[in-house]
Amino acid sequence: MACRQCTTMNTSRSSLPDPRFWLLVSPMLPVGGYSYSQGLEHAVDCKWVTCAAQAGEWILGLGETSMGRLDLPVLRRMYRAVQEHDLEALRGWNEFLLANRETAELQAEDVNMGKALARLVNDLYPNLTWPDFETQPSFALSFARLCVHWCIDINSACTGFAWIWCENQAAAAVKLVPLGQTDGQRILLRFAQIVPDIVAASSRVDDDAIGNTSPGMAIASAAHARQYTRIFRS
Amino acid sequence: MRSVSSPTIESGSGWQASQRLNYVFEGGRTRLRRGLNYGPLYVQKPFYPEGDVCHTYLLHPPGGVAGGDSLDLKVCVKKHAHALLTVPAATKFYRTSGAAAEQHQHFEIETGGVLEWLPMETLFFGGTRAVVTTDVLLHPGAVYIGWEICCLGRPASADHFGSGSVDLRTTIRSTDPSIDLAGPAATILRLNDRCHWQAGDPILQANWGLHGRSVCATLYAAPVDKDLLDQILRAFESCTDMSADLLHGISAVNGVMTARVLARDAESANTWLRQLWTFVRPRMARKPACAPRIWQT
Repeated sequence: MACRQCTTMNTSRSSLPDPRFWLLVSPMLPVGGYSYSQGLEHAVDCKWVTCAAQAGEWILGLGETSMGRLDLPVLRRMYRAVQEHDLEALRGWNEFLLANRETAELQAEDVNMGKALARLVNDLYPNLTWPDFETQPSFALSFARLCVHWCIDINSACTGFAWIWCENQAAAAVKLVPLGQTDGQRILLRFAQIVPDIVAASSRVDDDAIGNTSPGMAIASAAHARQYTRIFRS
Repeated sequence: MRSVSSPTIESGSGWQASQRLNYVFEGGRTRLRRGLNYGPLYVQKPFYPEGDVCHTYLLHPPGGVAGGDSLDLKVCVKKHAHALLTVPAATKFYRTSGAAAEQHQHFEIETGGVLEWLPMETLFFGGTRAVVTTDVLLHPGAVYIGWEICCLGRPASADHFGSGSVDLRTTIRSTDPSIDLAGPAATILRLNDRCHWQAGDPILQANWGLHGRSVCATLYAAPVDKDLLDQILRAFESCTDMSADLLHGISAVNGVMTARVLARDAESANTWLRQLWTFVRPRMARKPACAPRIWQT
């Protein structure tokens, strides 16, 4: 689809993605993802995760199943729905994604990040009209809106979405376990190796198969909400 | 690892069984109206140990579900009726070399109705290909308390689920009181709990997954508000001590409480779930816990 902004900003001078992609995946994106650990804080507290190897197993394992079977397949459908202005489908997938969150804490995180990104989109582009079902936007919904608006292709959008998640998890592991900065970078490097496969796999998931529950992570997240002292938000 | 000597059971095109149950509140008690039934899926004459609540035992005489089999249960609890449904023996999903074995449950609970779905555990033999779905629709003021106890393999018989797959789904929807139109569009999806367990997949052993436990059980209860959830949490403090044999966590999303348990055997998961049920039943269904007689045997 022709886009006036893209012809000026995304010329074919290089194979690099649109520079706005770096805004999306930057830790400066004001959505507060760094303030959540998704059960990792409790997993460290009860010694399920005690070293770099276990942190890597936790993060990469969840990335493969949770991102690959739930978040990215839904993001793909939301992206298409935004492109096609199919608000009914968008509302349905948003409801579906939030109904898949295993705990109140995980759902609140998703909606808080979704709202923060929606506020940013509305501030940057006040003329972008949007219906009011945004009262509970998931992060994926707001993310899909911005990616479509910036003409970021779907595979880059999925890669960026998974990257934001992994970076927040790796940063949390560095603080919590704790790990050295190099260990944190090693986790990100390993994720960088598998993320193309996760993104590709996410395109092959049928509607009926979307969804993933990770019981151990869900139990850790439920316990985290009741943890006596916490660094990360619940 | 020595191979497991459980026979592969095939039943050609498979047993197709279906049972439709309606519960109506009439003359001061809940009565069972059997609907369409075909194939080997039966209910016994109901029990009334508490006077008005209808306790029903669902029987599947073949005793197990093989590749190609399909069990279909549809239950509708009409206005102000209260049914407690249990399955008195463990459901077994056998090893298969062909088609998947399927079990589908559809529960609809009308205004003021209560459905309790408290089956014994489901045993998934190594080599099975199982699809199990439970779809619950709640009308305003309806109450649902249900659990699923899933055992992967039979560790006591050296079946460590070395092959096979289990695909589980539980959805809870409610009708939207702000929309008058009937139909699928007028419902809100409150919970979609989806598990894909494939032999050899890291999720079976990983700490974020099944934690190496062969039993994964979940109790769902709706509606649960914040006050009730706080009471439950105070009584059943989430516990994830690595040394504990039972890991459990309770949370509520969209008014649906989900209590997850990871255990090494069905018995301990069962005991914990019954304690939780004993606690929530009086608070959600205004009835003291009255265990089905079969539990005492």
